[in-house]
Amino acid sequence: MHIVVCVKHVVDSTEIHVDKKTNELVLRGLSTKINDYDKNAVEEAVKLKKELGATVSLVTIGPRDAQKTLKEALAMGADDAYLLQISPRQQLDTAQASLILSKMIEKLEPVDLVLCGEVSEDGYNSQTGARIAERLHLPHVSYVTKLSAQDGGYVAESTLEDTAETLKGATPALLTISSAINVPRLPTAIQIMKVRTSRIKNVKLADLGLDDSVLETPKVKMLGYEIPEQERKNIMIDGTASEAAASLVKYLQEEKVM
Amino acid sequence: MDAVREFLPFMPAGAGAIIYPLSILFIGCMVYGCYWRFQRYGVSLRDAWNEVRGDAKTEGAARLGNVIRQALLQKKVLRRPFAGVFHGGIFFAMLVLTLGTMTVALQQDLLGKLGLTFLKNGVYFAFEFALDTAALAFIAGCLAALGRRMLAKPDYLENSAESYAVLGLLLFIGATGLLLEGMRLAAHPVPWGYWSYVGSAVAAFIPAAAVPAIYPALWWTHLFAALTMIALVPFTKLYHILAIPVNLFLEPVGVAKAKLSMPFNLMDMAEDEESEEETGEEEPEPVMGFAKVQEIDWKRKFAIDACANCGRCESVCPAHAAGRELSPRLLVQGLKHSLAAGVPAPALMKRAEASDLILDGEEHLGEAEDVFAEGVLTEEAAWSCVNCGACMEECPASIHHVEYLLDLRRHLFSEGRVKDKQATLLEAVERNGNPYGLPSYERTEWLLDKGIPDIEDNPDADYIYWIGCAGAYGIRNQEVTLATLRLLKAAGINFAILADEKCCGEVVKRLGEEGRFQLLAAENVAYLEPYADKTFITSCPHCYNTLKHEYRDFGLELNVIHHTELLAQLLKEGKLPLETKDAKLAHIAYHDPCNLGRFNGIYDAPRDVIQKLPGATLVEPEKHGDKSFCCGAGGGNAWFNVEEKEKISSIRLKEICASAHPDVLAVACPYCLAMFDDAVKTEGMEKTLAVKDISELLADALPASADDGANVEAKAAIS
Repeated sequence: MHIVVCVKHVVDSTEIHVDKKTNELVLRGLSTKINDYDKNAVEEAVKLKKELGATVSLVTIGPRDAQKTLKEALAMGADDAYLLQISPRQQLDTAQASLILSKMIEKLEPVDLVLCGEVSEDGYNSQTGARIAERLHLPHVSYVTKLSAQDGGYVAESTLEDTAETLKGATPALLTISSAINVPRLPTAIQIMKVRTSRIKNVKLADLGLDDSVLETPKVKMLGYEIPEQERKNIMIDGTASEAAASLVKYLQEEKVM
Repeated sequence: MDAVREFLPFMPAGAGAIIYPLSILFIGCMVYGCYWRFQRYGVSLRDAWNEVRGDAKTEGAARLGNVIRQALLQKKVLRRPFAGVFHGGIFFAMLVLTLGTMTVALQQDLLGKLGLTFLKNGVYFAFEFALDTAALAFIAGCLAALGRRMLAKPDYLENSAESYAVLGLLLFIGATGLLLEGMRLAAHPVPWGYWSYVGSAVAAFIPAAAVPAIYPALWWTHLFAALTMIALVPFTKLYHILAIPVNLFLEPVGVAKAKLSMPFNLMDMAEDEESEEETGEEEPEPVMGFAKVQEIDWKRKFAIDACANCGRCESVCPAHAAGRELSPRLLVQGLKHSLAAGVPAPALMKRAEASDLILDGEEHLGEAEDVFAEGVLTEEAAWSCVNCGACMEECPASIHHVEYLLDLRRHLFSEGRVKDKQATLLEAVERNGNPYGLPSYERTEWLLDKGIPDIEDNPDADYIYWIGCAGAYGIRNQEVTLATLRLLKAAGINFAILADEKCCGEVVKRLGEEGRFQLLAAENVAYLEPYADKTFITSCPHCYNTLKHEYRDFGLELNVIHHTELLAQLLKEGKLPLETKDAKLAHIAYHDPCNLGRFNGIYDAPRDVIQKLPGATLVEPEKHGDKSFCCGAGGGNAWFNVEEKEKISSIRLKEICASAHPDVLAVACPYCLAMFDDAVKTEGMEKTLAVKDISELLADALPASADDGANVEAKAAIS
């Protein structure tokens, strides 16, 4: 069984903040790392590897620094890694990313399962996985919270807000993995360090039959960032418990939440 | 005629001479036994000898000093009021009796033959008196030890058949010795008999006529018992008589108690990596910790083997007291058993019945994959250790329990066997530079907004106040930071903070993720290096340790002081005005943080500050100073949970209240503050006990005017 996991190198979302002086989002100079959600996908792939003897390949698009992400995922137990290197300033939308990733995956065929994290913590689009499936004409299941597989097929539980579906399907297929599915293993710093950079294979757009124009034709245009206004009413309710409860109900009714 | 000792009365001629070949035989057994035991350390005699000789050349004198203090003078043993005294009694008496016997031999078989008699008259009387006193102490000690095992039965003491047998043998040797003296004095009374006051008392009960018939048999029994004891040393728990002094000599001197081992240096490895890429040769991954006791250095094996199973470590262990799955005693005993035979030691928390005699059986090395699978301890036990060092402070054999546990944690980490909360913690430290997982930019922003100068704004600062993660992010501990800042300003200290401060990495190191610690440390060291000429003030004893002791491994020597040290100094110099008017009277108990007290010996400064607080009376909990009992947060334990019956912080809080009856509990560590703040709520003591950092107590005593005046001064210092 051959499993391909799409991973993304992202800025650390917990460190993104607004510059107090310029009121702009600070994205530069932040630490970068593997997208947390993709770690769940890698973990699931590594589990299947242990169970079925699968081979796990990683694909990513990113700056040179994305090697860090791939090394971490390799240290978790993946076998191969493929990086399509772009400039650190280059932004790709989900249409561009899914096009390139689907070509990268095609190159690795035969592929039985493609796993993606449910979302990336920088863009929060939740689109790339589904888009890749479409481009590769693969059936796809999103938000997978339970997975078992064997040669030729898989059983996946997909959990949406208030429903859980169990789906049985044949491979090849693409699954986007929910963060609820597992707790990813944590390789030690040494284990990550000891992964040789030479294990990461560089892929060029030309190898995929694409040219640089793909990087320059985004389907989504970013107009600007704005911080949503948040206002708190800061109402303090006094009085005995029953009085307070009554006035709380009144306030909630005024707000039309009750 | 001179008063001398009557040598071997009632014995046939030549009985004395036979002692020598017999002794050689039995001592030979002992030497052989030691060699046999030595084999389990997995090192050749020659290599071990060379290593020890090398150590002796560089720091032999200092190490010998350690042996004298700890072994000969029983410093650690005597920390215990009862067990210490009776062990001391047995030990010193045994020493005196052995030396006495050798003196008699020297007088009789060498000097006597040369016509020299020094053991006569006054000297002889003193000799008799000393030996009788020793015999009395010896027997009393043995009886006390037996009594403790049979009547008091403390939990931490393992009562094996072997321990009774050994004590019985000792008692037998002592009793027969006294009986022999009593017989001699009964049959051949001497006018100076009262010097042998114990023997004379025994003689009063012995019919003189019976002596010649019984004496020889008893003499032989006594001799064989004594020689048997010597021969049994390497095969029983008596091994500690030899092993502990040797182990004390093997221990390097001058290593700070807070300093943890550094199994590899990542920076060296990074260089190797480059050369690897060139040569194509792959260096093996460094071994993280150990999976099996056979993998460790022979000296550390020896240390384990020196354990006498006295249980002192267990009796002071907070984790054990809280009902966690850890006993430092059973850890060491388990490793010792594993070392001896490679067979599973009895599962932890069950009273191990196996004794040295039993476990020296067949070898089954290499069956289980690691000590956890062998049943030496559970993973939960390895995470249960709060790194308080109480066990090591107490251990007469100087075993470094925490280091073994640290290595086992390292092993667990390399296998990915970690708790989710630990993984989250490490990721938070790696990404956000603090264990709270809060954004790094929030760390000092709130202080800079208050006008606290960053080092770049005040490059001439004499001091750098290292805030620490707790002081920067912990809501309760932020108050301590503010109080300390107020005091620094009031005293006109020229200081700055570091806007880009990061977690020091203490918790990462103590959890066993050495690689991540080193990456973090290297980064911090590079950031701190330009300020190495300044004095660092920390409020957190954990940061104190790391900055002061751990960063040395990375070539950075910092002058670090704890805020209580600075405050004590400022008070002494009269630089802090205190409002004595309307001072509230309070009994203040001080809780010694492990990392400040036991690890760094800072006991007086915090107390000096408390004693100078207007209206304050310092009260000491029963467990204080180097016997302090952890709050439960150390060794990373503040950040994850382990199974336990009672919270360590609650146990400590109740003990403090019961023994010191304070109104205020003063602490000097953010972890202790957080723990006790929580425990006070759990125990419903919010109304009766305030938990405060010493800097808060002192800042409360500042007159309002101190802030205004000093602000000007501080501003002047800054500009």
